[in-house]
Parts: sequence; C-alpha cells; structure tokens
Amino acid sequence: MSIPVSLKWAYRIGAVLLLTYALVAGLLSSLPRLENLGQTSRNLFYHVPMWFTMYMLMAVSVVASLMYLRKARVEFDRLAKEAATVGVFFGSLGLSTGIFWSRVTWGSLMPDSSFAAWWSWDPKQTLALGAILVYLAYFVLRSSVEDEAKRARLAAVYNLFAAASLVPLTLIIPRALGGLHPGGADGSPVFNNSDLSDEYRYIFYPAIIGFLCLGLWLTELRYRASKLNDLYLDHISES
Amino acid sequence: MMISSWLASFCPFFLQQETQHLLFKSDKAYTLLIVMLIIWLGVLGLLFRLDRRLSKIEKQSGANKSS
Repeated sequence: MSIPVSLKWAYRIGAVLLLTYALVAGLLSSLPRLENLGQTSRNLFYHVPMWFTMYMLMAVSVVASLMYLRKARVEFDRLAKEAATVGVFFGSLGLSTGIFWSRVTWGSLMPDSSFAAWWSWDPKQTLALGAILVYLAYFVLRSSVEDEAKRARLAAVYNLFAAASLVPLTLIIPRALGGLHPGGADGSPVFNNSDLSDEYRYIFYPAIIGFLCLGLWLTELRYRASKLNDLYLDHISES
Repeated sequence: MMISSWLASFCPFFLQQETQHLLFKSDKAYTLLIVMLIIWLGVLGLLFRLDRRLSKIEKQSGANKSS
C-alpha cells in the first residue's frame, strides 16, 4: 500500500496548522453565548471533531475490509485494524469529553439544578457507547483467532456489520429519540444547526479537518509500525 | 495581544466584543493558552520524531520493497 508523499505531507501540515489555529482561536475568539453553556460552547471545536474523526476512520476501515474480502491481501487487513484502532481511540475521547461536558451543562437543565450526573442514560450518549462496544468486539474477535488468514477474513466480515451498526446506532435512532444531547430536529442527529453562528463555523470547520488529518497521520504511523513488527517476526522465525 | 490581532486579520469575527472577553479580563489567562500550546507542540514533536524513527527502521529493514 503506497500513499503518495504529497498526500502524506498534506495531512501532516493540515494537522499542525489547523489544530494549532483551532486551539488558539478556539480559546481566544469572542463568541456569541448560548444559554446554559457559558464558555463551554467552545467544546464544539474539540468534542465534536472527535466523532467526525471516528466516522472517517471507521469508513477507511470498512473500505479496507471490503478490499481484503476482494483481494485477500494482508495489507488491507492491517489497514482495517489500525484505522479501527485509532477510530475507537477518537470515539473514546468523544465519549469521555462528552461525559465531562454533560455533567456541567446538562445538570443545569434538570428540574433540580443541583443535580449533576456523570452518566444520564441519554439515548445518544448510550447508543454511542453501544457503538464503541460493537467495535471493541471486533478486537476481541481478532485476538481470539490464531490462524492469520482466517482471522483476517472473519474480522473483515465482522467489520462490515460493525460499520453498518454505526448508522442506526448513532445516526438514525438519535434523530427519532429526544434526550438531553442536542440535535435531532433540524438535519443533524447530534447538534442544532440553527444554534451555530458563523463565528463558530470559522473555527469549527478547520478544527474538524485538522482532527481528520491527525487521525490519518496516527493511522499511518500505526500501520507502518505494525508492518515492521510483522517483518521482524517473520525474520526471527526464519533464522 | 499580538496573537489576537494576527488572528483578527483573517478571521473577521475575531474580537468583536473584546472587552467582554474571558481571556482579556486578566493577563494571566494567557498562561492557559501557552500551557496548552506547549503540550500540543510537544506532542507534535514526539509524533514527528516517531515518524522519522519509523522511516529509518523501514530503510534499514527494506520494508518498502515488499508489501
């Protein structure tokens, strides 16, 4: 698998510039305020891109799995695994930042304003946890099969199911259910587009692209390390 | 202040209500940004070093020749 050098540099530079911008502008710019959120509305630039990055990496992973099922080449299995690993990493960051954020902001929406829970069984939050668990099972499955070709094939088939389950779990059901997490009514399952002023979009969109770039970069590094690891194992088993 | 005026040059909405702003109430709030930047740049440095190290090992092992 060879990625063009220009693309490799594109996402490195994208991550450095866009995320540095998102960090500085996300903290320093003055933004319109929304009731209940206070300054935590700036979390939009950091919490939400975690999920965008997870979706992109799961898409990379499932395409790699499809390619593996067509061509049965080990590099596609490797890419599927590493993209899913970094995807679960970003999903976990999205979930934990959400838990922390919700404790502060959802507490003020509760009838008893002193109530602040770490976990409220909000439908979107709970289904996002479910989606991450579906992906954890992917790694359990991988580690339970010794034979490499069999593992790769089983994992690829399971990955199709895992990726497909993301759609109802995090995109369709959240639209239909209410809950504390924003979103559902106007086009997006997880945030209110009408709440989002241009001041936010100037930082939000670069932040998303920046985190996507970082996700690709991390996946590439893990992919290369995994390949070297296999080469080394082959080498010691030969000698 | 330098950072913010630089940002204002390409981000038109930047600093419209400067006086109300959280980070301008006290100079010390910049410390927060600096700390976060140090951490972020540190992580980036680590990533680039890891990148270089992998390239070096790839070269030594001839990993690029095979798939």
